[in-house]
Amino acid sequence: MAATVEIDEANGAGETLTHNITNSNMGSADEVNTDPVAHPIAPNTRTYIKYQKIHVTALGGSSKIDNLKIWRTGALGAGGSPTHVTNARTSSYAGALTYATPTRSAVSTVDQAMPTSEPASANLGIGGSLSGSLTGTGSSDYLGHQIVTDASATAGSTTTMNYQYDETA
Amino acid sequence: MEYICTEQNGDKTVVPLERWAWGVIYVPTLEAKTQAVEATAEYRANIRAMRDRAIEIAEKDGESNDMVRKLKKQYDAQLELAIEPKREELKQFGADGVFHRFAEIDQSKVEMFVMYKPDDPTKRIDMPVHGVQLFHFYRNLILRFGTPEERRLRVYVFGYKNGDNSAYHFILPDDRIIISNKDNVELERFNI
Repeated sequence: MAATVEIDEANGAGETLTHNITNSNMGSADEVNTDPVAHPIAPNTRTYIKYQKIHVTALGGSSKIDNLKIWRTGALGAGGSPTHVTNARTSSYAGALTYATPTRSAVSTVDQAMPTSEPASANLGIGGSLSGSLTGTGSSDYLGHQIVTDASATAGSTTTMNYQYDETA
Repeated sequence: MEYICTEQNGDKTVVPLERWAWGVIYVPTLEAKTQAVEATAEYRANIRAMRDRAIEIAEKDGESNDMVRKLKKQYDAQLELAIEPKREELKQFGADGVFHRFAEIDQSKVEMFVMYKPDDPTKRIDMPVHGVQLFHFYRNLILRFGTPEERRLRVYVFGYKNGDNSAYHFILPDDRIIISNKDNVELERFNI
């Protein structure tokens, strides 16, 4: 049986966790499933950082979840040189990202370019390690990510998130 | 049919049948080999007795030498047959309703690793095994998350490692199979 896995997101000063989010929209509001049209960002600013994690709610007969990979697909923007930064990385992983009230400022260790294709190896850790695994219910490290625009940024592009994990039964 | 996975603490989980499942065939035990040798000897003794009796009757009935030779040839062909030793099997989804984990496989005794589609007997992959480390897992993808095009896919991955050599088989959702010596195949490139 497939393990039951969901994407969770934390928001707010008190780390309010929302389970099983339905999208990863980003913008000028610190809220889950935000509406980017209602909450756009101006050029030369950042979106609120997203704190998300992969949550295994049931193993369903399987014994292990590991090898977490995150990447994006699609264009970031036609104008300027926007970037999508993250703590996800395949080497020099900084360990589990500590939750802090989401901000529109830069966050330490959330400075790696989000891969635009499937990374060659795990880039999100479990228990602070890229080789970590879940053998029961539990969650990955936080995935932190944020869109950074410059002064030439224009509206209209869409990039989407992709998640992958291995499951051993 | 329900398949039950029993945890170490006794908890039981109903595991739905997968689209592809694994099975292994073990090398025959010494006892099974001995039994097969004994059964083959008994079978051949019976064939020889039947042959000799048939020839005796044919000769008594005055059949031609050609006919007797033909008769002998027919029986001698049957003497070439041997009874194969019985081989134990372990299936991920056992016929007794027990779900087995991959770790339950005694890899030191596997002769054949099999992937098959439980709902389609024509789809089966046999992989002879000798002195290699088998592996099997599921690769789960959530693509274009949160969009109308979001897809959640399950890819069946199996193969073996033998020293520095590896063979990864990826069974895609449409049953195409990709074989690689590396684990990190970009599955999205195959229009899954």
